[in-house]
Amino acid sequence: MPVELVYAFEGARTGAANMERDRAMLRAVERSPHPVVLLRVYGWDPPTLSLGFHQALDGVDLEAARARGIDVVRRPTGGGAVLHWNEWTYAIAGPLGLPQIGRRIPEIYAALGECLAAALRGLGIDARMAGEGRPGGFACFSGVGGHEIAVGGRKLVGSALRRGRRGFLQHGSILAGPEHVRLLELARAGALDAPTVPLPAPGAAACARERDLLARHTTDLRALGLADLTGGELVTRLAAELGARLGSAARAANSLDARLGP
Amino acid sequence: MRRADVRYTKEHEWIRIENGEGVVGITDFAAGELGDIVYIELPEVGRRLRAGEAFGTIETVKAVEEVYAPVTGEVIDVNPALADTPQRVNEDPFGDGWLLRMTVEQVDEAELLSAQEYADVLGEDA
Repeated sequence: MPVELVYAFEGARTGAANMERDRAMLRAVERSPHPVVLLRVYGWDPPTLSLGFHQALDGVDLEAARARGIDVVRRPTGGGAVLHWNEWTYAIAGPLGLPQIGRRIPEIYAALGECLAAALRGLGIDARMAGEGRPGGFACFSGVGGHEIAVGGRKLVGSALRRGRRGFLQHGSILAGPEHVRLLELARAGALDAPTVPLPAPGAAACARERDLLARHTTDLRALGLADLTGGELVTRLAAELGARLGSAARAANSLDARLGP
Repeated sequence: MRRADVRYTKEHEWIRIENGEGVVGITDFAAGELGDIVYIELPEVGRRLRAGEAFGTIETVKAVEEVYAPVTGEVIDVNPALADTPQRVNEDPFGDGWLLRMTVEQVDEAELLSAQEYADVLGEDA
């Protein structure tokens, strides 16, 4: 059965509105009678710290966030904290078990990671998917997970996943500038450099250098000479790569409103 | 080794029913597919669950997934060890890694699979 692919660049919303919208994408693909993949690229206004689904709020200095006008929200997906400030976020939802994307967590990461890396390489940068990794610090960008995207060994894209019964939602942050490092100002003493969840030993060891990793082992579109890249161009390139993988003609929309329901 | 004395769901939960109570967990296949589990959210004791309803979430390093009630009933107990050692589910999904105990009030027999039927769902050789 052919897979329908609909995409949109949607501009900026608050953290709560963005996360509700991403959840609505997952619901929409799960209830669709035919296979549909939805893609959107969006921003955050105000800048927002997003926490992984189970991350403890007590790792965050809420007063410091308020003083800087930074919102705090919880994602429906796993992974570490991300400060969404001068970056593009993408979200992709689709049914589980498509032959082109798969069902297992590593399969989904690999399939979508290949599309992301190819789209970014189309912009002239050497974006590569990392091999198997095992991050586990407070901040998403302090470690490179399996199938996440790095350029010259520096992390550019951090991704997180939720699997429902019939569908998946993956979203991720593509850094556009260095502002994300200001997450360091929002983490309470002890939250960084210490795992926030019980971790297997390799993850815990990696956390020892978390602060250093976040500041120095990331890169962003501006540093890579892509300061002028628009969200519209980014979503179009990503949709083209997804469409090629799915064997579908990607259909542009002004927004996903018609797909997400009330 | 997959156990023959429990029933399975297509969503990769298992339930062992004895004397009107069921012990629920996720299968070895599900645990292996998820990878290293770092957090498990379980329901409160006393919560009523309908068969097929999501009752909790499992988080691995990079993903979140829901778990579903195999039967209808009420939560009697949750595995207290998982708060500190969620990796028990990876290590012993049919034993120490059980998730919860619940009353068994209604069973949809068609939804609960034998070990052989579950292997068929997975496309495994028996």
